[in-house]
Amino acid sequence: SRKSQILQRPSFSMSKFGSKSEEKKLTPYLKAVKSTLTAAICLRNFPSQVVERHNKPAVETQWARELLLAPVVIAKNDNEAVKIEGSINALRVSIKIKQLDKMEGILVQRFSSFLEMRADDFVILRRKAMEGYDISFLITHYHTETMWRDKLVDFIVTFIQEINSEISDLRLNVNSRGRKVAEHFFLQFLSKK
Amino acid sequence: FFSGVFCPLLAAMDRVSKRGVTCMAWNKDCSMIALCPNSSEIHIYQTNGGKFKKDWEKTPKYILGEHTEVVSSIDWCHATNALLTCSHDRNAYVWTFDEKKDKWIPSLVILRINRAATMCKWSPLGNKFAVASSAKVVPICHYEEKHKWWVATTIKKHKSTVLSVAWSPNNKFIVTGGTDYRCRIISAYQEALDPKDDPHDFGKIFPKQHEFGEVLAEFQVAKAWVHDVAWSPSGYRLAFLGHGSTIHFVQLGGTSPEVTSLRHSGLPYLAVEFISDKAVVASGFDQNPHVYVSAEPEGTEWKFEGKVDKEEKKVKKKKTKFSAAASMFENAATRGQKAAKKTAANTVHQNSIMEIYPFWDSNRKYAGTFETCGIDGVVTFWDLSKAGFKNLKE
Repeated sequence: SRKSQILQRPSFSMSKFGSKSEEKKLTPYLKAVKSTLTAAICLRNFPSQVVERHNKPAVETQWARELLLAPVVIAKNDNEAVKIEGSINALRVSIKIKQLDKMEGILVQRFSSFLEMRADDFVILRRKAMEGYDISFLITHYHTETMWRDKLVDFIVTFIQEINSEISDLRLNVNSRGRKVAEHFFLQFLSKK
Repeated sequence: FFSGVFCPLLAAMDRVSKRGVTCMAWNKDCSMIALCPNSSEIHIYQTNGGKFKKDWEKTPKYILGEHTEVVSSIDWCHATNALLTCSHDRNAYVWTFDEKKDKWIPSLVILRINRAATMCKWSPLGNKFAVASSAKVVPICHYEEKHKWWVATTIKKHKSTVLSVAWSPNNKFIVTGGTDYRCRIISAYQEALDPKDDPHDFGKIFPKQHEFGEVLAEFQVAKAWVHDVAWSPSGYRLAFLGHGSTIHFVQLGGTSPEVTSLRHSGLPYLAVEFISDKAVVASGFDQNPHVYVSAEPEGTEWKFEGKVDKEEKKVKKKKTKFSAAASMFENAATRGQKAAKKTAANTVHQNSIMEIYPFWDSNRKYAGTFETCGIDGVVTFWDLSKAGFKNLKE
């Protein structure tokens, strides 16, 4: 029925990740991100120098400057950037997603909080994005011990590639839903004579 | 969602542990291998003389469980058959084998460090050992006969975690590398334990060679974390690795040490070992051991010789049309993919190589074969002559 059509949620398929995009060639921006990530993801098990019997991601604690690599920001323009902060046992990747207006801003916020709430299952996601960025990943040596490093890098690059099309799809859906809802709302005035 | 990001449970013959192998050591006649499967235990397997895992006994003969955190380093002293292990729990144990009880008896070493231990190495004579630690110190331990325990004297010259340590063949010096970006040669000379004679004539280059704890040379060329250090069989050459994908060679013997630095285009190395006076094997995040060769056993000319793993593409099994279609649907359902992707790296090791263990000949001058262990859990054997490397011997 018409009502069910309108109230249907916009279809959001995660299966888009990893299907067509590998065949697309990488732009120079993404090539730069990929090569920086490939180098920064060389992590090793490193026990804490500050707290005995503990093992903490050096990029999060920031206790020892010598264990950190210089942070690299790769910016496509003012709206899109990737910040890669490496260290000896952990890597933090923060992504600033393209947001041209408030509507996209709200969509990006909703999208990232959806993922961040499920950060435990996501494994490499950081629960809170870094300041100035929309989503952050924290990859530790435990992850690189169980997962392939080049596949993790591929995943992040694909994520960056796909995220813009996902947000614009969502935005189009918002607009079309708004139109349908308004149409249905005004129908009630038309039927009365 | 992860699209095949997780390593599949390989049926690989060489895989010893699913979680990875952090360190390993062989005994003198290679009849036993001690390794740590990325846990707080040490597993000792009987190898039945074989260097590949398929020849070994299925389950470890001894499981040593004194440590409470991951064991970072194991070293087996060929002179005394004592096993040395150190761990992130700030402890090191010296294990001696009791023939009658068929057990390894641990003896706690009082290291007096308040952080994790990262590497431990026996000295060539087996009368002392060095432990690199996160406490920015390197304790050198020897056995006190009076009290019947191992006692440490500390070397305190480091500014950050010491990641690796290696002994000079003269039993007197150690070379250390760590996260303070420096590689240092330090004297660990102890009067009661070391011979006074100086066959290398190091007294001329290092006037303070007999002062314990004295830094004899410091190299700052790496400008990055120094992951591993190695000393050549002759005692005149050193190698150390930098995280910037660099490998540095030091030639001692002249008026001052001369350093040659080489940078390669791959990922950084984690482990380096000399296999003769003019050849070095280094491996790390590239999962492939690389060989560097020098034309002469002395001098500063070094060059990259080649990769040991030829990286042959894994042959795909032939599939019928039906099975191809079935796998496509299966991939779409379980992984969200259209087609089956590459599921294994082309190298034998599927993840970084942690350690290289050379098998020395009887006078410790040349090792034509070596074993590598990686964080993917694979322990495998390499033969350099079969891989096509020639003229590596002195």
